[in-house]
This record gives sequence, C-alpha cells and structure tokens, in this order.
Amino acid sequence: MRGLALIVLVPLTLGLAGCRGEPAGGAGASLTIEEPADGDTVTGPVRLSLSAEGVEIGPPESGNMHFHVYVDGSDDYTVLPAMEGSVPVPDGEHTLRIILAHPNHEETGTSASVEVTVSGGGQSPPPAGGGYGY
Amino acid sequence: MYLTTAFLLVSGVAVIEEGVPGRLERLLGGHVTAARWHRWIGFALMGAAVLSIVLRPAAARRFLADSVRFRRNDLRWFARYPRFLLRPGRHTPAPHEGHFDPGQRVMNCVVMLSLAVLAVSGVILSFAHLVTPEAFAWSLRAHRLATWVLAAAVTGHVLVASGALPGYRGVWRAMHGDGRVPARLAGLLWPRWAREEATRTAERREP
Repeated sequence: MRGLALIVLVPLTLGLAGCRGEPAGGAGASLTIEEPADGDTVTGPVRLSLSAEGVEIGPPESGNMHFHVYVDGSDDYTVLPAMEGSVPVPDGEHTLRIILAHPNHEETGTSASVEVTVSGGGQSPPPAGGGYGY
Repeated sequence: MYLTTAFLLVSGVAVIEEGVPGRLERLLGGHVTAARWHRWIGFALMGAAVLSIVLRPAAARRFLADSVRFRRNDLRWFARYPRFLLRPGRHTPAPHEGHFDPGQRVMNCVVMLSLAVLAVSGVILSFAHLVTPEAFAWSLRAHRLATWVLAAAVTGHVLVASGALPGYRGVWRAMHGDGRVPARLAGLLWPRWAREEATRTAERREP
C-alpha cells in the first residue's frame, strides 16, 4: 500500500511543485481589441490585434493563456494563440467575441467584442475549433 | 470499468488531437463539452479506484504484492514465451511461481503506473489556473504519453484475454463467464495456482 501511495503522491507532489512561480492565472487580466475598431469595414479573413494585460499568451500546449474567437452566436470558436492573428469570417455584418481562455480551454470571464462589416474576400465560418493543435 | 476507460480514451483523443478526431469532438458535443466530460469521468474513475482500495485494502495489497514480485527464473519465461505464442502445440511456457505469470505482472505494473501518471497529470491539467505554464505543459506531455502506453497495454491484454491466440483458448470464459478455466490450461499458464487449487479440491473431497 505504501508503494501505491508513493506512486501517486510523489509525482503529484512534483507536479504541484510546478506551482512555484506565477500560475497561468487570468485573474485580474484585461483584454482590449486594438484592431479592428467597432463599426469598421474590413476584408476577410479579419485581422485581429489584441492587447491583454497581466497574462502571457501562447499556444495551449505551452501552458499559457490564449483566446477563443466566436463569430456571432456560434458555439464554435477559433483558437488564437497570439496577440495578433487572422480569423475567417464570412461577408456581412458580424459580432466578434474574444474570450481569454486557460490552456485547458476553460474560459475566463475576461472578454471583449467588436462589431464589423466584412466585405470582399470573406470566408465561411471556421470549422469546430478547439483541440490542442499538437 | 471497460466503458469508462473506453470513453476516457475516446474523449481524450477527441480533445487532444486535430483532424479526424475533430469529428469525434462534434459527436461529443464540441471541444469544451468533450473536455468537461473527460474530466468528470476521469475524476469519477479515480474516486472509484480509491474507494476500492479503501474498501478492500487486503485485496489491493495482495494485487500489488503479486504484481511487483519478480523471480530470477521469470527471465526463462520471457525467453520461451514467443515460441509458445507462435506454436503452442509444440512449446509450453516456462513454469513460474507467481499468482500472475511474468507477462501479466509486467502488464499490471505498466497499467498501474500509467493510470497513476494519468491521474496525477490529469488533476494538474484540470487546474490550469493554479499551476505554472511549465507544469501544465509537462503534465500534458506526460498525460499524452501515458495514454498511448496504457492503450497499448490494454490492447495486448484484450488480445490475450479474448482467447483469440491459440495458446489462450478458454481464458475468455474464465474472465467473463463462469470463472472456470480448463485444468490443462490452468496448469500450463498458472502452474502454482493450479497446484493450489488441486490441493484445495482434494482436501475438500477428503472425508
């Protein structure tokens, strides 16, 4: 039994020792959409430029935070692992909602949205997003 | 148990890979839903494992003790095993003294270790907001590696336990039927246990 307890507890202790230093967190973070501005007319795919204070942004597999980009009320999202990136959006008027997410894709309460009109070169909505992309 | 681990494997592949498993994600209600179910079922399985150890500590101790004890002549078993596997009619496995044969013991250890790694890394992954990015990243690597190791071990176990291999005809019934195994097969695969059972049977028959 001691052996079994060691098998579980030692790696758990080592793993939780990784709690030293700053966790990925997200608490107290703020998110701003630099581009596009509300009401802009843009061509697709829409180029997003974001600003996030208090968090490190990176691919999910790095353990850093990332963004989920929703188009209108869709349940599907595009993973954006950087402060800048492009998102396929069809032509027309749309609301883009960006949510800050933990590396395990659990979403935080930090979000921002922008309304844009996409004309010329817009693409179909993204396929079901998510995944760690490894 | 079978359904739970199968669901965890399927949902785990769905959330950790892209491409074809993308359709798997949609089948499970999308990435976030699939990931949540994966976590809940994972925690439930961990709870069930802890409960079984708490409720039956002697059995758990015996299982562990029988699984980690290896003897020098077990090497001979491993050396002769491939020939038995390929031509069971002409070759027999080397005798062993364990409750489990040496191959089963290795599998038990691999499965226990993999499940422990999956459990620990899974807990860390579930609480991403509490750990550093490095801890999350390493846990994800460990979780992924342990998944494939466990899948390989379980596949081998299912292959042997199915009785599909010529030398193991009859074990399916032992596992999923009435628990009986032909005496000849028992003597071949688990000689010490077969001897003990024969002794017990003889003692029961004595007036």
